[in-house]
Amino acid sequence: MTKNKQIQDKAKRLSLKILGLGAAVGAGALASDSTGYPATNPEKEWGEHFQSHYTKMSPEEVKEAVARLERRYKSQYDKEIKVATTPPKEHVLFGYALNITRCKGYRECVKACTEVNNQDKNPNMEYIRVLELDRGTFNLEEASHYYSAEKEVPAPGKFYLPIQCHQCENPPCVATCPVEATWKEPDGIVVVDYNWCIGCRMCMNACPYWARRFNWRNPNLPKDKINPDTHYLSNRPREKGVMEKCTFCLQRTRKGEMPACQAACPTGARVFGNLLDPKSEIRWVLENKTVFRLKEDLNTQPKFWYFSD
Amino acid sequence: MHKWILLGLLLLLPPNLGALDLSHIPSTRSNPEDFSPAPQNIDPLSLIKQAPPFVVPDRTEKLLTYPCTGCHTQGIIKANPKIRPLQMMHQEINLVHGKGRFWCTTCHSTYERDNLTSLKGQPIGFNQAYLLCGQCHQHRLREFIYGAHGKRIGSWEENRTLLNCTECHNPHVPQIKPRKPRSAPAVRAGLRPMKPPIQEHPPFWPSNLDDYQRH
Repeated sequence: MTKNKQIQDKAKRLSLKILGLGAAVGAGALASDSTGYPATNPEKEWGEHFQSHYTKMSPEEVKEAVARLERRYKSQYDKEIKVATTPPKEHVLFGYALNITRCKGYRECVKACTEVNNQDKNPNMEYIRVLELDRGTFNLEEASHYYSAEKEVPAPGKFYLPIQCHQCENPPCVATCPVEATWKEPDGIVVVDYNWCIGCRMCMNACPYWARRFNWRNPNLPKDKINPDTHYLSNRPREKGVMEKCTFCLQRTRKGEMPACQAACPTGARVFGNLLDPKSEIRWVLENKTVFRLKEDLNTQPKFWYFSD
Repeated sequence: MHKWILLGLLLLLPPNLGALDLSHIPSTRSNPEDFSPAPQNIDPLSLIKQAPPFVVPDRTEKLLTYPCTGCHTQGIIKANPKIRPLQMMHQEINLVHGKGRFWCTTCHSTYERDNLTSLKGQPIGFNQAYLLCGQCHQHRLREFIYGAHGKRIGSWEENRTLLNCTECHNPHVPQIKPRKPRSAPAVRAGLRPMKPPIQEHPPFWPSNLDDYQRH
């Protein structure tokens, strides 16, 4: 009898030990990531780990999540950062057209993009690649986006083809995400919930336009280079291990402003607008110019067209 | 046996199949107006009336020597339509536009000094310079007013604000010169820059390439 009790006690102690160990491992997992390094954001509140998917949160929960984020950014960057949740406008579907005859490869759009979208600054993360190609050819594999900043552009015999997220109507990145952390908004913009992303990089692999960027390290974002005007789904500061991408400057365009790349383009090569408005400039371009899209055969249906004079 | 059946079927077909009557199909060739050439001189004003409305930011505030009547008042400095090297003033202006076909008074009004002038002699304000440019560059003007050429500023949804031609192009030397681009993208941590592609065979269409390089 006593022997039996002893065995029972031992079993109880063991089970408690295992339980305790499990709890410790669980707590440890929250405090550090899988690589064993300390957590990237020690200021992260518990609530942030347990919040739901952005589209599944109630308005109150979204409000709480935004307040949590703003508190964290305040302690992390010592700056007031406003996280907006502006909803998409009704009867709006964003589209972009780019005149490759006008584009001269100045890379002004690339720089303007990094100034408003709070990307990693060391090394610079850029959403737009301006490809330099030989005239008369269209081999993207032989295109270069590392062309020198010391030589004048347009270089003789070359033309320039900026590539960014094409906001596909049939986005392969969304289809491939195992946790639905990326989706297409009603205004056509493919967005990422940085709190829901697990960093598997499946979407990066699926994108045929090399439009997605991964934060391999905790982004280096100096205080003076932060744009405090942010949106939950676009340019709020990211963290290590999440995917990010161009959102046509959703924080600006949902307020009626132009995307930063359009505003910065010195040649006026970029035409941005509402595809559902028959009087918009983008519709005129699509109806009157010869346009093409990249890799149309993949049926991704990008909302980004190229045209020439 | 089969060929007899086939022949029988052919005999059953209506006799006029061989000579189809095409008169009911409308032909564009019957109307000579369809072949008239496209109008060559589109009036810029009529073109603009068809397009969605837009505004252009004021240009005169940015002009250093505006108003022109500050110096060019009738009687003091009269307009001299003679083509000559400028000596006293405006020596900084290098008129390349038109390659020698134009003189100041082609575009600047001789009589209303604070205005530009159309080829017909109608005054055009400095803020509407696109009307002047559109006299020759009609296709550009058409693309400009519909938004395919030039730059729109401000909002994408509200009233359209377009930058005037002269905001980007110097009207005296309109071609934009090449310049240095912004810095090249940084190579991601842990990666090395790509090597230039090795050409294993000559380009597929050498003659095509030559054509492009020549123009």
